[in-house]
Amino acid sequence: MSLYYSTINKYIVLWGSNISQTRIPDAHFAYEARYNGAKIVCISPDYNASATHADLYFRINPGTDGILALGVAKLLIDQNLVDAPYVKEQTDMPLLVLSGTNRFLRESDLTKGGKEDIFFFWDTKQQRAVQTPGSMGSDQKTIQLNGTDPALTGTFQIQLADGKSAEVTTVFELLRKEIAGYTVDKVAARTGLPAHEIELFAKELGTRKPAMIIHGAGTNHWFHNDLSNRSLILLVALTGNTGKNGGGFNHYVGQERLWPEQGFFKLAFPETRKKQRFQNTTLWSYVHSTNKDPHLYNGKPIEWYIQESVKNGWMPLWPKDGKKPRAFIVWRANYLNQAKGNEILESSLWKDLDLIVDINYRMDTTALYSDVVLPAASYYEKVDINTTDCHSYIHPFGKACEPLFESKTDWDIFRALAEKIAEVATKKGLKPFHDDAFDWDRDFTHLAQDWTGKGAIQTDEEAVNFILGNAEETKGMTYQLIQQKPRRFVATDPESWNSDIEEGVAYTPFKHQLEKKRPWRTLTGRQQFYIDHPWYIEFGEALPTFKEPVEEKHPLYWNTPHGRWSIHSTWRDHRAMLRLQRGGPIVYMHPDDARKRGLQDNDWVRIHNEVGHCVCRLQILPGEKPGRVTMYHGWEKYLGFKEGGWQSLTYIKIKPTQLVGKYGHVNFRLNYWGPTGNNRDIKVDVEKAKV
Amino acid sequence: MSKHQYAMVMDLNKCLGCQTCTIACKKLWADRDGTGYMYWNNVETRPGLGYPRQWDRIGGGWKDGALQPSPLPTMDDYGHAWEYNYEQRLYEGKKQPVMPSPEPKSGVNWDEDVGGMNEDENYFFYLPRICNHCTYPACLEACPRKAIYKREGDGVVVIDQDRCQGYRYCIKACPYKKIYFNEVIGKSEKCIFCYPRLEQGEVNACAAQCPGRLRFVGLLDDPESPVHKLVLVHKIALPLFPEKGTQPNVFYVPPFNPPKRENYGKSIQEDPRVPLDYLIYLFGPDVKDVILRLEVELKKTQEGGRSEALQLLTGRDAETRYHVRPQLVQIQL
Amino acid sequence: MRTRQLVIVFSACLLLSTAWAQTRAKPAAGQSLSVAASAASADNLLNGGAAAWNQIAVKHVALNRTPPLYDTDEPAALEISIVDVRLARVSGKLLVQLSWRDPTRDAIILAEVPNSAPETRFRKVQTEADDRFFDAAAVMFPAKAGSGAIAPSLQMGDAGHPVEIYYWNATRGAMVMQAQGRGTTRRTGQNFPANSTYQNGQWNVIFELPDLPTGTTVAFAVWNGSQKDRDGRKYFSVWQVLE
Repeated sequence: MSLYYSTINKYIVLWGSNISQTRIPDAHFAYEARYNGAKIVCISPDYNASATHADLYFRINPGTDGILALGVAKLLIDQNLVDAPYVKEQTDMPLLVLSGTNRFLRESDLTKGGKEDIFFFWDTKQQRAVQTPGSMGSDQKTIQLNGTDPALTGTFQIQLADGKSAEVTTVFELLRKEIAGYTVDKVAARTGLPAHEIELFAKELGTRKPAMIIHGAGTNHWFHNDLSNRSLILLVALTGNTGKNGGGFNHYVGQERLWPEQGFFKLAFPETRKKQRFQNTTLWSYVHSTNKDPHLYNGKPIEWYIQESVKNGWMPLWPKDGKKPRAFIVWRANYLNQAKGNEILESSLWKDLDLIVDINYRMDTTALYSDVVLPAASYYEKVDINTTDCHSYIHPFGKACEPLFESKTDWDIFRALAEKIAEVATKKGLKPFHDDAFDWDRDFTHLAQDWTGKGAIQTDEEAVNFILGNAEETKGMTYQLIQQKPRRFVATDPESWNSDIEEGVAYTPFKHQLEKKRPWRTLTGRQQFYIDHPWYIEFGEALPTFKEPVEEKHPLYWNTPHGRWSIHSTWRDHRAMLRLQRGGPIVYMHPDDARKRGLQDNDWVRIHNEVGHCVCRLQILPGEKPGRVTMYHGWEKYLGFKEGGWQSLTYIKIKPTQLVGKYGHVNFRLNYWGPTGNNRDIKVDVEKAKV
Repeated sequence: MSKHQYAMVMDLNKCLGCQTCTIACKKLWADRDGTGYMYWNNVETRPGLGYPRQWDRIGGGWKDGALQPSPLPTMDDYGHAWEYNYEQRLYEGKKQPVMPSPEPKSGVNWDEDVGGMNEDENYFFYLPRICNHCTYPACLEACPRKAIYKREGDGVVVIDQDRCQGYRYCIKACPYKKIYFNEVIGKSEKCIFCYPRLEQGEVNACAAQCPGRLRFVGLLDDPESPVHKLVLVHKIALPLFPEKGTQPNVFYVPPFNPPKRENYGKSIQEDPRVPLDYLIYLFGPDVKDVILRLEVELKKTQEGGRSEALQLLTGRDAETRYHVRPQLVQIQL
Repeated sequence: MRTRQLVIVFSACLLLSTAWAQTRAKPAAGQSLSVAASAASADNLLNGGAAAWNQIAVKHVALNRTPPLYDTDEPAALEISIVDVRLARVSGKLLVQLSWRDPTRDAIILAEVPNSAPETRFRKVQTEADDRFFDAAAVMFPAKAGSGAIAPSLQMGDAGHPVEIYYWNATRGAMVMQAQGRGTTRRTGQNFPANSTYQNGQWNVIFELPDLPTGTTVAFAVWNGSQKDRDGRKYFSVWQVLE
């Protein structure tokens, strides 16, 4: 969540992130950082609006970011540009792994009845294995090394609980072995980048500090995104940049969290999050539709992994016991338009549901296809608060006028629903019952009272003040107060966050870990690159490694990045902005690919693969990468397409490793971990449309 | 000659191409009957067609003291303001998709992000354009009704809507094609440099809204103003097409693009991605010196030093970037 | 050949500029305009009553092109060389019928602008084209009418000799203007009755003017939209005198 700190940054790597388009409010900080002495590297298959402001542009082959990162990691290690003291203290690089099993050395290996979540490193001073402080099972709530000096390299002998001797080595040694094959020539060949410039890049990343990677959907939305993300994070860890202002891994895609989240939890989940049915959308959509991933993973279909995961309680799946969902309420999301596998969802899930309700202030595609639309008030018609990953201020939605026509604020809508449910429950004579799943006595005839906290929170402003008052970040604030002027958080809740609010200093995460030696919230208590879960080991992904994009039949990658003209699908149909584009959905193609297909600029074209097709217009773009076509994100299906939509080409693909749970920090939680919505591996072909 | 001259500097190395400036201006000034196709502020991708198409090649301006001829651009050159039949799909339940009408064939930002090719390497940059409020406006001279005048206090060039009869000699005369004809009312209109805002101490809407923070506004003759410093002291901001002779008062810090493949570390003099000839075409021969000096400044900071010019371009806050001085200008209202 | 052409061009220019610059000179003979006293009503005439107009004698008034006003103005051919003028005096009004041949009808029907403010409407009226000009015609006479008076400059009068211009535009309608020299023309905000028809390549426009006394000098102008006519780029006649 760190922002480029424009007077401090020395190296900003835009990696799969087109900030000029997707971070319009704060991109200027990056370009100003350049005037203050930072260098900007832009790594992207397309030459785009961010690349134009870079010092170095890497026109990388799509889907090869992981191999570039690991090649650079190898160069950093080979050229002694690793920040050894940082790595020894802050990462799992020194942790010992049993050579025989490829599993971490655990206390349980050394002592009978020992813990599964206590780990070891080799102290060069004492010449023996020493417990790593700060892991999940450790008594020491610190990662302070206390005078020990963990070894990064070497193999050692230890004695197991059964008396046998076993060889252990460090994660660092295993990493070196893992990435030994990513020589600069191999990386250059696979990425399509010049070898010499890869070397220069590695040298600069290793010496210009602080260095930051700004990461986006361009790298994130691939099937093997967990591998490539781990590889990128590895780079800023090896160079000691994470936890410093102006350094680290700065993601702008994926899960975002609310800053005053403890306050939000208390309001939304008064019985605590343990007593709530949460669901990962990707998994739910896959299971409850006819989406079928044809690929096999180590010889097994994904359905096998899903079953295992659910059985083990790793990933929730509702409803249980093979039942089908019946009612679906969509709120502040254009689910049908945005979900991968749109054609499949429309023809299966959507038809199966008995009731689809959309709470929305726009008539978007989902609303068009819903049974009931509850008109919601827009931003300027309600009382609400907003925070963002990108800065440490909270600001209100000011109510410029009352909700228009029949619309209501979200608060009033949900409250009205609660009241109606209570009313119907009473009328139907529903009796209280015990919810065994959560050991909770429920009585729906009391729902409205329960929902308002037994009448304590009646209005939206009271709800806002409840959140503000129950969060460390906003202690002392009220809605009235922040209406005068948006305010900076006063503190951070250490339960949720890893840095303090410092006056005059931009917020950057993980300062508690770096400066106060607080344990990282991982199994090992460190930035953990080695994941010795059996599924990870089975797939050869215990360490970050490079895997090719999923094999697909057609010649052109289907690239659907976020663009400057919308927030997902919001405003995609906005007339004033359509007039500043070409008026409707466009697919971009390199001149060579167009020439091959006899296509001209502004032709109507048909984009297709096995899943579906769409018909829209073409724009020839020299900046695009041959072998790939781009359609910017979020086009409403009802505007500009003669047939289909932008998600007609996609389907849901789940990676087995992302179904894992109950492995320390690799565990399902609301807004935290689960299978991701990836789609960049998908391929299509394009031809002139018959219109 | 006006007593003072408001000017604007745009740093092309900060432009995101987001078009927020375009919308800010449009919603404020050109969202009326007859103005649908007008964009008093537009941002075009360069190299490119421009808005209107080929405006830079069809004429206008001065040569040896004489106005140069030019045709009037057509609606196809500007692009039509497409309408959308939302209602039939969203409220009337008809199944036909919503489509733009007329069918799009050209537009104000038609070739967004296309740019040009330097051998097999793509290059482009964004060029935001407003009326340049020139010191020697060709439009003012061309109008037979003397409907165009340059405000004495601050140099802003405006069209008197009472005197204008929509003859459009001004549009032909302007080498930047920044005047637009409103056929509904039969008069021509253009950017007014937000003078009503300036008179209240507010900066132009396009500048106020720019998320890239690339615009600087002030009086050219005010030594405290950032425009004075950038144009006359540091001399790193240049006008567009100086040879057209109108002496524009909008200036640009010329753009860099990253080096071509395999050229990392080379100076911008050696095989740059943006051909120097193209920059000279736009900004005149002075651009070469400016680009080289900017390169020196950037190198200085990237090696740990400090550059006053680049600090100025950072434009940390509104007070730094905008020196609107209504008291200094004392417009006679 | 070239010399001969040059001589012709030179003479033509001389003639034109003499005619155009005609100022403070009495109109020559052969420039008199007869005004009929019609039995028909003003309304009938205004609405183009053919029977009535056909009774009235026609004067074929020669038209010339104004010389190019600016170096940058594209040259224009003489496509319309005559305007047929008929005048009738009825119930204190002067009805003027102008007819001329123009192969293209350069006029549009402007979309009606709704009464409501643009900021309250989602859709606005659009400019459909920016580069078209419309057919028009005008009748000009001295503001201080009277016989024996010295005619003002043909170039929209001059200081001391203001003119009234009754201007009809095929798209924008009829409006009264006043001027005292080139560049000073202003709309008075007044309209006047006018009717027009276009048929078989011919315009027929009827102006209803206030009555003008005998001896008033009157001049005519025609604009051809397809030749990009507007402002001083037009066809003009020399001063005629009302009988």
